[in-house]
Amino acid sequence: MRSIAAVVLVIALLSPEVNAATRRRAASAPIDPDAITISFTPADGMRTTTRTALDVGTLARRERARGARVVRNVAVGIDRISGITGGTATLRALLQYSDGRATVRVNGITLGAAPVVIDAHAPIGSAIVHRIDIEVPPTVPAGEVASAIRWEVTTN
Amino acid sequence: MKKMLMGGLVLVVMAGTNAANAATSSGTLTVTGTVASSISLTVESAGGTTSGTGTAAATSALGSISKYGSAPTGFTLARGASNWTISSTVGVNVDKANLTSSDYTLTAQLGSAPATGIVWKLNGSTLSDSAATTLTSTGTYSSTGSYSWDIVVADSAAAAAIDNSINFSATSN
Repeated sequence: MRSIAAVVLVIALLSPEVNAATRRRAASAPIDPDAITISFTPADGMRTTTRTALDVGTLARRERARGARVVRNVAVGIDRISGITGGTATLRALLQYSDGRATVRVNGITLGAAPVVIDAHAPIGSAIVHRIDIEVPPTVPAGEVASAIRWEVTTN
Repeated sequence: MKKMLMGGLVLVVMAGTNAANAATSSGTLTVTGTVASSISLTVESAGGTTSGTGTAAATSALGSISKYGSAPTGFTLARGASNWTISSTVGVNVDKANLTSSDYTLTAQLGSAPATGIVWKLNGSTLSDSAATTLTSTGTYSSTGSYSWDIVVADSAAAAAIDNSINFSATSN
């Protein structure tokens, strides 16, 4: 009896009918009309930038008073999954990861482990360009630098 | 006492409603780059009427100079038997960034051949336009080095412009 039950169970899992039914249930799940997404788009033509990674290239000091520095613009888009526009959201950012070699600023605000408000009234349904500033002190040896900026958005 | 408890309950319910209405989302943007070592050279001072000091392209105007006239601003004038010399100093600063080097070598070279009868000297060494002259091989970073600057004019030199440029070059050791 035990072996029969096992066979029946395997057939049920592999059955296309059952899988199709599962897909139908997933497709018909209600979409939260207020659910939002966040996306990144390079705003200054960086070829090496993808939607989740920004390679700023080579940093070298150009001003005596500062360290090696590079500035890049990234458009941060906030959208509702439903496509409905309107309303605002609060955009915050923090350093999720840092190798400790660079100071990262967004719109002049230095990022750290705690989230800081970048835009208290970011419009939903459009992308706003933010200025990312990477600065490496002169005392830091040459080499790779890496940081990860976590962006958090909450509808107002 | 019953009224007070009721009021507290209402507040809690309202707070819960606000939190439920706020939608949130997050994303991570990884930022990478490569820091390059660099040094920068600036001309901090020089005799004459200068412009552009503190940058890598300074200019010094001496005006009209002559053996029996007055020395240009910031220069002294010494008359010899068959020549005369105006003397001053040039201050050069070299900074480093993202570099472990402890000192640098500084050289100088004329931008063009000097006019006949004109000799340009830095730190007592005659400059030419064909080869660089080493001013120091142990330069200290972030400290302006002062180098004596002499222009020797032979009495036989033609009365003409002596315009030239001195190209400094710093190399980390």
